[in-house]
Amino acid sequence: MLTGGIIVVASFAYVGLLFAIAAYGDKRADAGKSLIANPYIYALSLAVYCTSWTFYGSVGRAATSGIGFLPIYLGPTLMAALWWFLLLKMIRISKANRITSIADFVASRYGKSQLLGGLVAIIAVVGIIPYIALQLKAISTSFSIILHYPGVAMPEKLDAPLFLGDNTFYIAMLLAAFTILFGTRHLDTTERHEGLVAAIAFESLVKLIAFIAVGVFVTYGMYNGFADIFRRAAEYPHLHALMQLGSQFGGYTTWASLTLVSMLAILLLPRQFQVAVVENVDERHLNKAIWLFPLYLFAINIFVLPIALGGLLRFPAGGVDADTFVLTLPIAENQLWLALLAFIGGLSAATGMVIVETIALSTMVCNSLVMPLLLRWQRLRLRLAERADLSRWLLRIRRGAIVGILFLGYLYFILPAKPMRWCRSA
Amino acid sequence: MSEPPANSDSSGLTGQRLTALLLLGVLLFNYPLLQLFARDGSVLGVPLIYCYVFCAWAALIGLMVLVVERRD
Repeated sequence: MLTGGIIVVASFAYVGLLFAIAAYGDKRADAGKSLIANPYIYALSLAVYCTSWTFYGSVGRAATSGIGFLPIYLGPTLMAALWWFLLLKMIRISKANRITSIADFVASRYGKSQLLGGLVAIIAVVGIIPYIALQLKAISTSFSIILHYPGVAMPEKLDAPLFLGDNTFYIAMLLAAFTILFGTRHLDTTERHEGLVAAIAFESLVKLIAFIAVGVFVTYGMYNGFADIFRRAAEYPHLHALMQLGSQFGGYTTWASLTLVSMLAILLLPRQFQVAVVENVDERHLNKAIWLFPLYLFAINIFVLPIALGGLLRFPAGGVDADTFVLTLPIAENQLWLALLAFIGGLSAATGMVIVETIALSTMVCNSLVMPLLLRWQRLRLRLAERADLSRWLLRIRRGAIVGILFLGYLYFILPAKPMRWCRSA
Repeated sequence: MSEPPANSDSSGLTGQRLTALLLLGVLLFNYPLLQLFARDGSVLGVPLIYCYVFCAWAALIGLMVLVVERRD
């Protein structure tokens, strides 16, 4: 198929572009002319908060719960108001104490407890592997959907090849290579990675542009603006219910608790701690980020409801998962390039999350889990390490952790769907 | 980096204003204010509740811009 080639080339070219941007960012940093030393790049890098769950999942949630998807973005908006002193304090404490991960941070608040640090690291890894798997799943699903262009088909979970025959596997390994190359280039006490941040900021821009492009196309290309979509949808009782806070909305308690959880998430998720605290170049960048980041969240959410309702109207028979509307609507309307842009947007949302989360987790695994154990267990090993230069050891552990985390994420992604096939192929 | 951090001078007041905005946001995005708009009706064709939440959100961000960018 002609489109199959285009899609594979486009997605690998996109990841290649990320490598180029990160390499350029590192080069500029080495030359002392930082690419990322401004509040706009800082705010864009914070938008790594928006994963493929935002890019595809918001529309899916909106299609079943109306505005029920919004607390995930209202919470961080509210929390941003507290960044003025809360995040500022976290940045100052971390810089003063050379704290490089959330596990470190929590441990240092309780007298540098290694046990606590290790515990936080374990919880983070266990909790986030499924989240990484979800991003890989989104890549894989969107890949098989767009491969069927110009047909609209839901992916068959069972007949996809695994490992070496699976494009997602290659994407995962490419991401591991990217993270190792730009995340563990050298051992730096501040753990800052300028090239990586530049690439992440670029990804945030791509996913925003892609989502808004699809939103504008659905709202003004397929329909005659917001009012038209809402008017047509209101003619169906089940869609009309989405426009009020009916039973599908989930109630105020769910709403308030989701808001609270996302307020904490924006502060404590390992990847948010990485970009907001560890990668912070200058604490003055915080000032503009306080309103730029909420503005980003606002912008990426404007078209969620029109796309959701537009999709429900376009595919009245069901059978098309609302989680895929961002991609399936352009496909159904024969817009190859827009579909490709949507696919790349989803890819950028997923890869950004995977890259930053992996680097944050690998720092944690290395500093809070492996090193304390190595230093504690065997004096012999320590002496060995001293001789062979400790920093090389640290880098090796970290690289191993990156590959390990991504591989676990891939396993978690393929195991539940196809345990039998996996056992056979293993 | 020789100049002092931008928010060391008027941090007290700006911090208080931002905290007030947080409280305003909590009020705007919760019961019972939401319930007021959870009914039929539309503004320029946009359902009332959508219009309310997005307008309140935009207003909140606008106020944050005013508070943060204000240079006394």
